[in-house]
Amino acid sequence: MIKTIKATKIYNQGRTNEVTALFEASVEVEKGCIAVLKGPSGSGKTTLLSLVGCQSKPNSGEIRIDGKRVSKLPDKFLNAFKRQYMGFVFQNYQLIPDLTVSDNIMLPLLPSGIVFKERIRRADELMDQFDLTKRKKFKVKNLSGGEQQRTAIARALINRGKILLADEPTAHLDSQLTDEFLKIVGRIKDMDYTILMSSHDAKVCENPLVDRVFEMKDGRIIQ
Amino acid sequence: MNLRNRLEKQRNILDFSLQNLIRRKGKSLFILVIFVLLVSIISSILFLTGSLTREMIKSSEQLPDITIQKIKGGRQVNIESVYLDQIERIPGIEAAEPRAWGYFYLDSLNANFTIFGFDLSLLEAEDYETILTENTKQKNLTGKSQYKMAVGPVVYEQLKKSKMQETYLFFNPDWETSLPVDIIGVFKPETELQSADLMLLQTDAARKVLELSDDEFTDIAVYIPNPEEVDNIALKIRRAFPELRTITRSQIQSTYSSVFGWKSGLVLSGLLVVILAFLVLIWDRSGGLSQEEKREIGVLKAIGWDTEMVLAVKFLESLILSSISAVLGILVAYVYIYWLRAPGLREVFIGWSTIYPSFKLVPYIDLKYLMLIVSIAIVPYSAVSIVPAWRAAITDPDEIIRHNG
Repeated sequence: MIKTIKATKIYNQGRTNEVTALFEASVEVEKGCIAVLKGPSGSGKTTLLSLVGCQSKPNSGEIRIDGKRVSKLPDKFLNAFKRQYMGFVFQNYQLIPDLTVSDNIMLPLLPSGIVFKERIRRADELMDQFDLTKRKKFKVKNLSGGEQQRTAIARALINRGKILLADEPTAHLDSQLTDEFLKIVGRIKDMDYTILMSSHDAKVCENPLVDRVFEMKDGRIIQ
Repeated sequence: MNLRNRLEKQRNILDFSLQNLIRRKGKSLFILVIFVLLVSIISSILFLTGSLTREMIKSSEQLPDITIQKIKGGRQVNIESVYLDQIERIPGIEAAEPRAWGYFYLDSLNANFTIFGFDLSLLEAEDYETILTENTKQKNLTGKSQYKMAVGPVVYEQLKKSKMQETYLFFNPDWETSLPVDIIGVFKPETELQSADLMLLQTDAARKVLELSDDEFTDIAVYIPNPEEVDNIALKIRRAFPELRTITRSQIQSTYSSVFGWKSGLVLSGLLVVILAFLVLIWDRSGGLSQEEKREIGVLKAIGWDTEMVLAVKFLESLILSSISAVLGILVAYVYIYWLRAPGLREVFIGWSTIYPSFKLVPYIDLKYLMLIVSIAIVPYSAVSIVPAWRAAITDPDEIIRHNG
């Protein structure tokens, strides 16, 4: 389902502050599996996730999703592909603080022109599933960290894609909330999603739900 | 995507744009207030210039086809009556009428009145109906004094204060006695822009007040039935009498246009600096977008929004904000010019005397002015807003979120 072949990402190429964030990283995640990118800060986990999530393009190498070479797709097709295939949970959730929970969750549906009733139905369903119904009219800035994370997950799932990418999803959670998060991940896996997460939390990496762990250091896959 | 989805998408763009403007109340209001202020100032000047020019041109239609003045030493002097016969004999001229007019300075008011000589007996009863107000017309036709006059509304108010609203006594320290003139009427307010400081006296009385000798006039008004011949006849007069100057009606009209156009141009060019400063200010504020707005663009792109959709949202935001500003600015200008009568601005555009007309302009809004105002308001602002949004939208979402998250 997800395959990277010798993906390299260099930031500020040709400038004095050039950084090689990722070097020839090759990973493969099968359909329906949960994989974790493990490693310390600066090891290239977020960069690899952003390449897989089509948030940026590699300087060399390839990214393939469901057999398609997304790293070569033009911007217009790439956005349509993103909407169809994947949801992304960012490290700081990247919600829009002045919008309500419900509006934030529905944001990815706006470009598809899905009618309002259907958008509401899908959002209600996810809010119900992630225990956010009571907060649906709350502005996101007024939510707790756990609620914000659940809102971000709901937003990532509303397009009913096939892949969920999550960058350090438990970085801001305590032990109890981490357990809750892992339960949610289990439920998402049951929805036939392929999940790729980055984490340096042992509780996540060693969880029995996880099928595969890629260890990273200094921008390279070491195991 | 079917038609229904496409329409829904457009509605979503509009909804999201409105939602953004409401979410950023502070910024939206700041821009709105400055914008309304700018548009209203520009609109006020254009409305005022347009109405004044139109009114002046309309009233100048009553002017003679050619006005003849005598020039001596580069300045206008009185013209002798001997010219009258010779001018009237030029083929194509229907009539040449001598005119007596000038100014009379009234020390107590620190103002000049315009004195104009006219044979009041030529006025028919219906003329009085047309030009004079109801409460004054013909009331003094049988007054005591030998001379009579009709006056402008502002003059009448001033004379009333001096308790001379029935008969005014013209006096000059050089004269042996004063000259009493009965006031037989007051011009209607519609004519105020021209008649505010006017005293329309019987010609004999005007000649006395202006101290014109028996064979002299101020100028000669020439009437020509065929408008095609006006310039040609003016040329003939100048060739026959090099000491005379001719002023055609069309020259006066173009002078009116250029005088107001020049004044408004001067004020508008000053304003151009303010408009530029406003645009630079918007541009300077994080390249038109705040850090939060840039982050939002990055997030929207990251969750699958197209660049075109992000730009459409930003364009609509600018369009809505600048359109509301343009409409409000135009309304404020309308109220300021036509209801409040342009306090602070009218002195720049009219008169040099301390007697100002009360200045009630007939609303006149030229479509080309509206187009100009709308393009000044909408086009530069939309461009200034769109460019930074476009820059953010074509950058990798990853990069924007990293730098602004």
